[in-house]
Amino acid sequence: MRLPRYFADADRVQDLESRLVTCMVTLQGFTPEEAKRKPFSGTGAPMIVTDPFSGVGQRSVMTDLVAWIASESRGMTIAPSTSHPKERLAYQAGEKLFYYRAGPYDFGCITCHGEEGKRIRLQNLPKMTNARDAQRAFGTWPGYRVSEGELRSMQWRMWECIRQMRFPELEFTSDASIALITYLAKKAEGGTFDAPSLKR
Amino acid sequence: MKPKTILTLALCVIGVAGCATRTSDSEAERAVAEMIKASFKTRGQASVDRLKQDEVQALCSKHAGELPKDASDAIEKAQQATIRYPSSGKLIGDWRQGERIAQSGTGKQFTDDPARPAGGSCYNCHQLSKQELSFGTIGPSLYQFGKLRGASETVQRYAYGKIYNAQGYSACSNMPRFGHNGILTEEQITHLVALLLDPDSPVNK
Repeated sequence: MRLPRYFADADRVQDLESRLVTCMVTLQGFTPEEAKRKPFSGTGAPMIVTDPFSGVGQRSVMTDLVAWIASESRGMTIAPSTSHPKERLAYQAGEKLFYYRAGPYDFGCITCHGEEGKRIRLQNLPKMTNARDAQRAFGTWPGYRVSEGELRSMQWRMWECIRQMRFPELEFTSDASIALITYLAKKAEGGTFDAPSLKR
Repeated sequence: MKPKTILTLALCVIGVAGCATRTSDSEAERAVAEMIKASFKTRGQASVDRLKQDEVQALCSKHAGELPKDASDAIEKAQQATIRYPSSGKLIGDWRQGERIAQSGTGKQFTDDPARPAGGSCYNCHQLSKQELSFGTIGPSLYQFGKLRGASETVQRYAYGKIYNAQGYSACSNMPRFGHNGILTEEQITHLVALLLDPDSPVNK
């Protein structure tokens, strides 16, 4: 399990979803806007209905593809590459973003994921700087979320955390999203990739 | 060559290893600044302006977990000075309304209606009443908060102030500055003070 990593043709670090966008554009003839139009599936929950990419009962082909490709990596060791300077830069930027507190609630990723054994309501929170917690968190996305009745990807997980942090919307496959995922992948290094999984 | 660059080079000669770290760190900082600008977009009430850090946010991000004592003292002093107490002087409201505010976790998200009042998200992180089993543990348990402390004016002012601006008491606290950042109104905060201190509140049963 090597993603995110640097791809020379795109000259950037890419996670699975941003790589798929590149392939859809360069090999299949989609425009970038078409490739990114519907990153997440719709469920009918109010939050998702208002999302420009989704609607009631509409599936995201992107998420379906992500789930199938991830399933092919099940059982592999999480082994992100840090040999390219842009990979190291993405990791360092991701780390800084992880500690970046802002917005009306002063939240950052660190607020919920900086201490061991904490929870929000009854939801357990992984401490992302702890290898075991990071391995379980990183290694289980994409996952099927029972509470939403939907399959969700790692890009969605970032997007949704950022929404709850009261930040503006995190753009799908943006550099910040990939930097955060790169940071998490490195923290989860050595763990076993176990997705797609079942989530609360 | 700018004076700052000359200084950096001079420091490089003194300590080569330290310099390599510093250089890549500033590159990462530039990358982050670029990402903050390019990776987010305004949606609903959550405008991109929210990503601009105030002084406290910048310090707390930079020194996560290891804030120097003098910086910590300075933050607490400055944030303490922002606390505005209700002009009526009445700090204890209605605990029943406080319980509803404590239960509600909505407000300020781009999916929330800005016309509706925000909740306090208290149960997300704290135990309060014994009846509510679904509580978080990021903050300490507040069960029997008033029973243990009484409801003197000092305790009332502490509870109100802490909710208004937690950083006035604990620099870089995880707790949002509910009054200072306009999440809750003064009146809503008095209802939460009642939830904590009123002898009839389930928190003190």
